[in-house]
Amino acid sequence: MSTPQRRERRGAGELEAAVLGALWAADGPLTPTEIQTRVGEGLAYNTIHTIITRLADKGLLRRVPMGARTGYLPAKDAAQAAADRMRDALESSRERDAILARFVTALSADDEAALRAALDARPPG
Amino acid sequence: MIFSIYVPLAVGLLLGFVAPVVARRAHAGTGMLALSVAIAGAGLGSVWALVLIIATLWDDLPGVDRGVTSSVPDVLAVAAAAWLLVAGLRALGVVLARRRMHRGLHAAVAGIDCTSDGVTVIADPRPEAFAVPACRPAPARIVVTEGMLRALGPRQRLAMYAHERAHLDGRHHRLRAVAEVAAAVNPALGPASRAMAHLCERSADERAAAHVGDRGLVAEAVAMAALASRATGSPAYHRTLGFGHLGVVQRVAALHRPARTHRRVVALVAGAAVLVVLLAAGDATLDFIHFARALTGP
Repeated sequence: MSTPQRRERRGAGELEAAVLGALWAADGPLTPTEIQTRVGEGLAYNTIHTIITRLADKGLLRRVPMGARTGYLPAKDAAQAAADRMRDALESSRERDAILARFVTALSADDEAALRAALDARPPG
Repeated sequence: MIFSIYVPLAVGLLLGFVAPVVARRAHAGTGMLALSVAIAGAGLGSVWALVLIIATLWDDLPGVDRGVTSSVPDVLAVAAAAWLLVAGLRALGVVLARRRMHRGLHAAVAGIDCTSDGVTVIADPRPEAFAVPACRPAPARIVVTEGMLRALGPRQRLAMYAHERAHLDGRHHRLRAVAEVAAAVNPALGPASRAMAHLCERSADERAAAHVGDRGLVAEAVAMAALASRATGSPAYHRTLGFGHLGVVQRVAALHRPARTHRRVVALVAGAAVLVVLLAAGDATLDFIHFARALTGP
């Protein structure tokens, strides 16, 4: 597969992940316009629609009527069923931190204080 | 052979001290690869040293004249044999545990579809994100929980996805597997293996930063995710022994400092370690062959 094609495919995946992230982080259904705002990145309305369709085809979100408009929610059933299985798999080995590179790692109380200080100290903007 | 036979084992010990220093100061990508090579070399050298030490028992056979091999006490050679057996089982254990974990995770998410990049969302309130390399036929997955997505803002989520993507693209799981196997064989390599794991995180951070064009943003995402995890009480904190802690605070600090550029020094150090192991192992082997030839000669 040629490199330009690969870069394109990664771009599509990134956009799908961004839309999914916005849906899961929201407290209720989102309209495409709201999704567009939350994802940012200067995405065109049509692009958002294409991504929504693709995600719907994969069963990752569902449509919810909101009066005259359509809202979208993430499809949670399979994700909830998987949560327990994932927990079991993670907890099955004490070596999980040697095996998996987790984005979230353990913090001591000192670490927490240092991180909060680092976040507060960052330059504005 | 008197000293050179132990050198590969000693290099392992030395790496345990040098690696954390490299992890704090080196260019992330170069340091990660250089340490991988050094650890693999020290691991292989350790196995070879053990084999040679065990082979000196040959001089106990009746009618065999003791030569240079008498410098290795029999007790040590027997202990080395016992250790090699244990080491083999430990190494196998490492490989099997990794495979079991990856397969278990794939099985857990098999019922959910993912984005074109493999991003798979799990409805768990605790923040969690990790990459699971492909296990045929399952594709590579980036498992992310609802808790993680809610803990981060939109741009921070992009940074987090890019970090996990970098782990997969860089095949970091393979580097970590080799290092863990080497540490199973020579436990003195434990600190070096952990230092290399830290550099894998650093390397993924820097690649994510290049992708989103903002190192500070990656630092924010890392910090926010860690703070959110502390709020939900996971994961449990176990302080690693000695040599200073290499964790989230160090990653955030590194992203706020100018990017490192000391590539050549690190590569030279790793090359030197491998060279020393090769020379020592070679020297011990040649002495042994010489001894063996003298026995089986005319």
